[in-house]
Parts: sequence; C-alpha cells; structure tokens
Amino acid sequence: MNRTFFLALLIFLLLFLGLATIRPSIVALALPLVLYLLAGLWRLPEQVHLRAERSLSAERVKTGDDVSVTLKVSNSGSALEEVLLEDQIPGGLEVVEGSARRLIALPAGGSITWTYTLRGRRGYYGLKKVQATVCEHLGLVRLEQGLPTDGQLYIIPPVLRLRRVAIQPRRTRIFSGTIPAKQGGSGVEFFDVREYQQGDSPRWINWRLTARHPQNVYSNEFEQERAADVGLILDGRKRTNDFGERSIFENSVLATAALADTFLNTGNRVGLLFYGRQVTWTMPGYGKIQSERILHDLSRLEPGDSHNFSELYVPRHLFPSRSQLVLVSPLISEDYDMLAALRMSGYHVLVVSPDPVSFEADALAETHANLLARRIVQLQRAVLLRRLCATGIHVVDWDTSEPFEKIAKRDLEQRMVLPRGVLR
Amino acid sequence: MTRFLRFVCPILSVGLLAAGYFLSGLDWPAVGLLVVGVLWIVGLALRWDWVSPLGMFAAFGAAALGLFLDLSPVLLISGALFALLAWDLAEFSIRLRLASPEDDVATLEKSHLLRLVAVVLAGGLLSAFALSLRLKPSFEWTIILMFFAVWGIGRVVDWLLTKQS
Repeated sequence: MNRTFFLALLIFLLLFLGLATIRPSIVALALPLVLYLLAGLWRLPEQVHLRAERSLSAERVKTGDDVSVTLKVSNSGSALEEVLLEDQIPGGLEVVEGSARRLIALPAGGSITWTYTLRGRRGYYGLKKVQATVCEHLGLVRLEQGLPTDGQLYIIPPVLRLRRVAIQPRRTRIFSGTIPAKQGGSGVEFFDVREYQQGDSPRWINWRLTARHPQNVYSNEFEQERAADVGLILDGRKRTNDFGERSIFENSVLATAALADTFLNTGNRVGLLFYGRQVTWTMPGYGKIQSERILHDLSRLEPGDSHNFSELYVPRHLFPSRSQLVLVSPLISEDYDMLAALRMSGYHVLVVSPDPVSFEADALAETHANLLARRIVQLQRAVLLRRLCATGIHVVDWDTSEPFEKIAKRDLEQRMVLPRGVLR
Repeated sequence: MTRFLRFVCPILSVGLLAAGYFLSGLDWPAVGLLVVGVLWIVGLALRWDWVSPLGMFAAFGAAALGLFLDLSPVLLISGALFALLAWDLAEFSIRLRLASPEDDVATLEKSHLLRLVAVVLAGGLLSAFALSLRLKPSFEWTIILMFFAVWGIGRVVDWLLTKQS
C-alpha cells in the first residue's frame, strides 16, 4: 500500500474515532502522524533537474570481454536528500564489477560519477536510460524520472581463425584470389600443357613432353587462382535451432563468423543472408570493412520463425549464378528440396550443419526411450545428409561437442571429391 | 544502526503499550499485545515487508483503545510513537537494501535518523501539549474543527499522491 495513503487512512480513522467517542486524547494521538505527513511535504523537492552522461570504454567488444561504463549524473535543481540512480541494463548483460545502482544524497549543483563493468552474451544493446527515483527524507513521496543517455554496445561473436576453406564455385571473379578458376594461366597448381608461346618462362617448359615430340616445344600451364562470390546463408529458424531452453543458434553464428572472416581474408566477395523471423541481407563486399559489417549484423541476429515462409527460402536473385553458397544450418528433412534446387541451378553449395541431435541429446537423460528416439532421429539425419551428398552438396556434419576449428581443419581444408556421376 | 533500531522500536512500542494495559489490570490484552510484538519481530527477521504497516496499525489501534479506556496516556502515546519509528525504519531499511557497497549509507542513515527523531519528538510534544489543554469546545465547534482538519489533510494527501503520479 502507498505509504502516504496508509498514513492518511490512519489519521482519518483516529480523527473519526476521536469525534465519535468525543475523546480529545484520541485526536491527540493523530497529531504525530499529521506532523510526520507535513514534514514529508515540507521537504519535498519542487522540481527534479537531473542530467545523465554515459561513456563506454568500447562500443564493440568480443563475447566474453569486459566493458567499463562510466556514468555521470548532475543535479541542476534543488538539493535531493535521497536519490536512487539505476542504470537500465538490458537483459543479456550482467554487471561483473561495481554496481549499476547508487543510492545517494545529491546537493544542488552537485554531481556523481561512477564506473562499473559489464559483460554479456552476443547481441546489440542500447543503453539509453538511467532511472532516477527521488524521495524526500521520510520516503513518503517517490518521484521517478528516466534520464536519457547515449550508449550502444555491440557484442560480436568470437572469430575463429581458420587456415583455409576449400571451395570450388563454377564461376570466379576477375580478381586474383585463392579459388582455382579452372582456367590455365599463372598459378601454383599444374593445369595443362600447351605449345610454348612467346613470353613463357623457360622454367615452365615441359622437357619430358618436348623430348617426346621434338618438332615442338611445350610448356606447362597452371591453374589460375581467383576471387569468388560467396553467399553465406545463416539459418535462424526457431524450429530448427531452439530445443526448449537451449539453442544451437550460437554455434551457427560462431561458424558463420569464422567462415566469413576466412573467405574475406582470402580476397573473396562475401554477402550474408539471414533467414529467421525475416530475411536480412548484408550486401556483398570485400575486406575488413565487410568483415566488420558482417560481425555487426551477426551480433544483432536472434532466431525466430517467419510468418511468410514455413520452409527454408533462399532468394536466388541475391546471389550471382554459379557462385558459391555456404549454408549454416542444423537442417531438417524439408530443406532437401530447396538445397537440391539450388544445386540444380548451378550453385556450388557447402552446408555446415551443427548436429542438433547430439546437441539435444546431451541435455536429456539416458533412458531407453531417449536412446531409441536419438537413434531414430540420427538415422533420419544421416539419410538426409547422404541424399545431399549424392546431389553434389558438400556437407560438413558438426558435432558441437567438438570445437569448430577441429571440424574445419578436418572437413573444410580439403577440396570435396564429388561422387561419380554427380554434376560438377 | 537502522538494522538494530528497527528491531528495538517494535519491542519498545509493544512493551510500552502492554505496560499501559498491564498497569491498569488488563492482563489479557497486554499478553495479546506481546504476542503481536513477537509476530512483528519475527516478520521483520523474515523480511516480510508487509508486517510493519500491520504492526503500526495494530499499535495505534491499541493506543486508541487504551485512551478510550482512560489508561495511561503517556505510555500509550509513547508506544504509538515508537510504532511510528518502527514503521519508518522498516521502510527505510527496504530502501537501503538497494544501496551499492560504494554508497555512503552511514551518512544517509545519520541524516534520516536525525530528522526522524526530530519529527517524532515534535509530534510527541505536540500530543503532550494537546493532552495538557483543558479546552471544552462545544459539539458544533468540534464538528467544524474536525471538518477542516479532515479537509486539510485530505488536500495534503491528494497533492502528495498527485505529485507522485
């Protein structure tokens, strides 16, 4: 119950009793309460003029890093006897050192500055308000005021350094890079032999073939290495990522960040499509700026279900034909048709799939029913992955209990050898 | 300091009220008040925030009843004043829970206690002064004075609640 209201109720009751019983002593009993009420009224601050300023040690940090927040609150109004200042910290952030709350007396013209340290999980956080609750010294009246501040914090996912990711799109760009272009020219890997042409280095001459056909001189040709267009697609559907309280989405984000960084470091042009509640598209680009852009976008993403598309939807007009697509998704059986259609359209598709079965099974008790269910779902998943491989899609099955670097080293550094008869 | 006083004040309040009843030969109401006092202390120890308003309400009710029965006004009003102190300190300690370790809680406590004691002492003196007056206003004057008192307090409360909202 409100304190003022409670006090007033008691005073009225005593006055009424005093009147009803014609006892002045009961009325006298109400006098200390009346005085208490008036004392609260007397010391009530007329107007609250508080201003808050915020500074952050960094606006962009990696997951697990600490950020120092410094707040300065100045009082340009009358003296405040009891002020509770509370920084409104969004969910997902936690205070690891110091306090986001101060209870102080603030004189007229005075100010307070304090620092505390935050840590949080991946995300974008707006730190926009400090809540001030002002009381007079008896606490009868509480005036609340939100003090606007500027502040935003990006907590980006950790970026794992991968040595290389072997991809082989059918079309490359004109700029040099590390993707074999299936064209002869200058490079490292042997590609073909042709007749010696003016300007060829003598070191390229294939002496063995020239000896066999002395009427001509032959020189080796090397496979050109060029940059490629890489479209990263991150699956953020709730139905594929969330399992009760747990979500495998963070693993997908981790893998996407590592892949984006690796592709950009090797000179490719990379774009990111996020498919969750809505489709979010990061325009393709090169280099460090693009890497930052992708990390910023990754920090904001949360899984959600689209109201428009119940199944995986990849807008093909966003990706150049015959380019490389990399889908990071836990996968469900219904995704096969879409992926097969992409493959048939000429895209080279690489799927990195965090294994949802082992992820979910880790949290379940090892009962007979659970083990049986796990086995059935694992078989279904194995069938799906095998069907995708048969379509010519390179699938990396990632058991999330193992670090992604290890999986990448094992399954992504080598070129995929497609099964015989599969469209290249 | 507040932590200590918020337990002492209910004990003194209930003790003084019970003494007022006990000295007039009303043993069972005194025992009943002591039971209320025990429940009040237990509630405070268990951090039941609703127990202080109830305790204060009970203490003022007991004081009013005692005054109606012509028991010792000094003991009863003193008991009621300590109940007011206990209620205020319980609320204040709830607010202090929100303080961070860096806050200067001791200074806040000191200034609050000084002002509270001053207000309660002034209230006690005012009550004593009112009791010492032997005015015999007519019933009509009493009604008129009461009406203005209720109207004035009602305005104050309304203003405070409006300001708060």
